[in-house]
Amino acid sequence: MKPRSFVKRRHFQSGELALQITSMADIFTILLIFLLKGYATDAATVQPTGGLRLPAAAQSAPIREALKIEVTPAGVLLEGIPLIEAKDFGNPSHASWQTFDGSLAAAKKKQELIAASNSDVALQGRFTLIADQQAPWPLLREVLKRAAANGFMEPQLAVVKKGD
Amino acid sequence: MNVSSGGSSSGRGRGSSADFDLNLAPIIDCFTVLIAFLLASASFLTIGIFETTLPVPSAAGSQQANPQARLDVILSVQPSNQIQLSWSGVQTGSQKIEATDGKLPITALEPILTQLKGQVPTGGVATLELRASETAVYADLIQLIENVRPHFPGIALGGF
Repeated sequence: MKPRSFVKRRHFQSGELALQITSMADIFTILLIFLLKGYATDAATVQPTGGLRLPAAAQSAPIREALKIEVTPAGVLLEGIPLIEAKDFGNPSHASWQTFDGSLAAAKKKQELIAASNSDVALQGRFTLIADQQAPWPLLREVLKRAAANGFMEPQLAVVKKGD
Repeated sequence: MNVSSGGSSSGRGRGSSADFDLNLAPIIDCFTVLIAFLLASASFLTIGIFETTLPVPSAAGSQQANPQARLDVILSVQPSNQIQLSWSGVQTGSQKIEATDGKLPITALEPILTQLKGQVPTGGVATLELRASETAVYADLIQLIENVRPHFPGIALGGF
């Protein structure tokens, strides 16, 4: 059987050629539906900052929406905003920890205000710790300690699911 | 795409065939932009979590409420990757597990945790507090939590 050409000769008289893009439209529609489905079903998404390598684990739970604290080799970020500079997990300054405390307190206050105005929203102490696999425990402990002091008592430790 | 209007021979456009082509080019343009945007923003890594808690000071009182119905285990990671286990409640004791080739002794830890969990009566509570050493890194914590969690789902990060 002779394969069909993707170039359709429409009018021999005029010599005009047209690309047959129906099949391409079909492929694009399927791709679009697939991507939109994936986009819509992700209840909570986490996009780790560049240069951050998460540890891998096989049996982790699905992520839930919460305040995000990132510990990267360059510093500590709260909701994507860099608050503490710590080159190669070095010792951050006292002033930057105070800024971090202030931002955590503001985040808690915001949650309290939302919970007070909307009875459907429960006040929670959950937060997601997205840390580099080489992040040292003393730095993580300090972050956890300050989070706890501001009412965030339930850390969710982020990992990459093995096999992905 | 050739779509026949059917029936009458009084078709418009090109001659008498009544065939016309849908102009798919703008649709393809829109799809290309949308697909490029969705592909760029798509996340191909699945990120999961381990739920933990931080120890609450007032929990000390509740631990003493019914020590025969609970088991509180403290797992401490030593700087040389040894693991020190101590437990109280239905049973009291401690055990040190030596590092395996300088790494965390995960394989040796599993049967001990299984045995400890077996001591908890039905309906009892088993908790585990994880204390890492100054030299531990996040990957070590995750490795431990992943292996401990099947036995002790309620893990608290301690050592503050």
